[in-house]
Amino acid sequence: MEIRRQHFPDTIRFHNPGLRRHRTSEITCQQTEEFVSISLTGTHCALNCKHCGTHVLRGMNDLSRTKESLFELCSKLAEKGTRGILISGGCDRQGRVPILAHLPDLMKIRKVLGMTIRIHPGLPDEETTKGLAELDIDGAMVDIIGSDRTIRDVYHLEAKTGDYDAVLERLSRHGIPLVPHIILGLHFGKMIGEWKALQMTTKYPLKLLVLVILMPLSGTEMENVTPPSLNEIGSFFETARKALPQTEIMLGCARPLGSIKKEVDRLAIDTGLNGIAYPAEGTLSYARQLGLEPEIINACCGINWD
Amino acid sequence: MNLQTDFEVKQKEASRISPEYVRISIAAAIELRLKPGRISGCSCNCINLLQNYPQGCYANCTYCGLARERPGTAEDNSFIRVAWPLYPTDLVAEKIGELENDKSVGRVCVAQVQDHRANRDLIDITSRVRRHAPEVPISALVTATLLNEDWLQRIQDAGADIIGIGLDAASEEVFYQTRGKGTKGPHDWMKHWEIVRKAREMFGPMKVNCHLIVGLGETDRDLVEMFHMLKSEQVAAYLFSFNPEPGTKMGNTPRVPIARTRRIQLVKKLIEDYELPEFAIQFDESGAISMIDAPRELLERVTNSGVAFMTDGCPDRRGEMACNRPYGSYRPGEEFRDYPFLPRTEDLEVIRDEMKLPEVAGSEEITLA
Repeated sequence: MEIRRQHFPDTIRFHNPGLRRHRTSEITCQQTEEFVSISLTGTHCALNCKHCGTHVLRGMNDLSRTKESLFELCSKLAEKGTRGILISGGCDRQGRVPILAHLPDLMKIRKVLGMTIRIHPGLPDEETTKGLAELDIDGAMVDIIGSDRTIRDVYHLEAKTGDYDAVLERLSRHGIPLVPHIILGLHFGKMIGEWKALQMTTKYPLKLLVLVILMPLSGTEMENVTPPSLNEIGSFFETARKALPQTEIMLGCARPLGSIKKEVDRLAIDTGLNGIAYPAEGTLSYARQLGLEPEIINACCGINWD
Repeated sequence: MNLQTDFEVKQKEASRISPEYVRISIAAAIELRLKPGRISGCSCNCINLLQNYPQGCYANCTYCGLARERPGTAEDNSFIRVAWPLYPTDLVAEKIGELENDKSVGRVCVAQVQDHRANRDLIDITSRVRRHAPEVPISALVTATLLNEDWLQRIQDAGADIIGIGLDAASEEVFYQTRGKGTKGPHDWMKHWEIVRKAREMFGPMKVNCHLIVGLGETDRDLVEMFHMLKSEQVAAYLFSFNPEPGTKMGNTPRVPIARTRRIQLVKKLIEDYELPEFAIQFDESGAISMIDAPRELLERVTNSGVAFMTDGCPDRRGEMACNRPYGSYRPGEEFRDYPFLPRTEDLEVIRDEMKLPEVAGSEEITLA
């Protein structure tokens, strides 16, 4: 908390993107159409990771089911009040989300519709990254994994942590705002690569860092996994805060629900993180008690509407 | 030079063999400042080393400048149409080290030929480069016929991170006729695939590549099927264009029409990076592409981005293509087959003229599945 007070103003941001409906007694103003998630591949993904099993894609707008182009889809969304989009989708076997084919549409969405664009690129190659660089996106969100075993056993991906490092370097070199995510407990609830992942991200200038926590989604192979303990989570929050004293750190949308959620949110505030997505009941008043002024934004972590 | 001294020079060259000596491409020699000059239009970011033995190569591929039965001495003969001057291996390794300190080298490639010393010397040469340049990425361009799992392991241990395999022929039949028993050559299709798959297992996805030459007698269908198969195994496909080397068995075989080269380059890109499904390409009875069922707009866009027509080659440590082989498949002044740089607007005009895309583009209504 001291580090936070030293480097940041006393405001705390609560993000509520349209990925899911969120309503608490403190947050009643969510407009799901303001920031919309789109899956380029529908629910298709070549990796079918154990923690996700394509479940996360199911909540998104499915481009593959419409006959429209991405631009047409977004034009309609714009009429309904959409100001920003998250472009996501399943990966190919190399871990790439197939963005290349949609770059011209994205260019028009950015230029003509003026939308704010966040991207889940997976592990983009050089050509895709060059394309993204021309797009003027708000940020590229990449789950950084710090353990070769996790990459293999959870993601079914034949890659190494070095490949993730190379992606950070590549995005950074092309001037794309980096919004890395670290999933706490990704290895079946165990924290085996998170510190290394943090180390990898601190080598590059970040727009912000997003911390999320393994959600044991029903219907996935991790359904019965126990997420990391509050102790482990809290100590990682602290480590991250110390490692990146001047970079915004957010608690992202993916994290276990239920009673633990409230406690995790309080930990995030106590350890001086800068914001929380979909805050639990009572989190805003807790922040106020500690002298932090809440600010509510209906978009992905760290989006500042331009 | 009189005959006597000419003979002496040849004798001397014949004794300058690997692992103490290697051939390097002219472009590499210029880049390492061993030869004066500059390469127009692009820089050479990959230093290619080729083993040197008195007989050249004991294989007998019908299109290759190093073939055993090609007339002339190995020293005089070109390979992929360019000269490969001979240098002491240690000097080359030292120069690579110096260049690394200076600005970093994209990649080094050590190529084998068919010779009983080739495995041992590949390890030796790779290790020498590694000693002088501890970080430089190294590819081993291997002769599958000589290898087994044990040798692949030693190549990896010596510091190579990528294995290139000259499959060259896109079908078993063409392989037999141009590289195998059909031309009294030692190479075998099945053996090549055994090594491709073993290397893939050991080196990882996209860390193994198969060289494929367009124009050895294969059909478009052979190539398209090969692109799909290699993609599914996450083995990279690197295209080359047949260009007759004088004096070789195929020295008088014409090159393929440029339109065919361009269409193959385009569909390869669509398959590899745009998920073009197998059924989207139709062939006529001769196996040539008759229709590409993809949105016209996508075809235009992929064409206009130009990347499809660049040389395929191993990447540098950032993932950018390092090996661009200028003049490997065309002569200076001739049309490009593959571009060692991103085609410019004026190049794209030429490419579009050459490709004659409307002849094979599907109707507007059909969309990608």
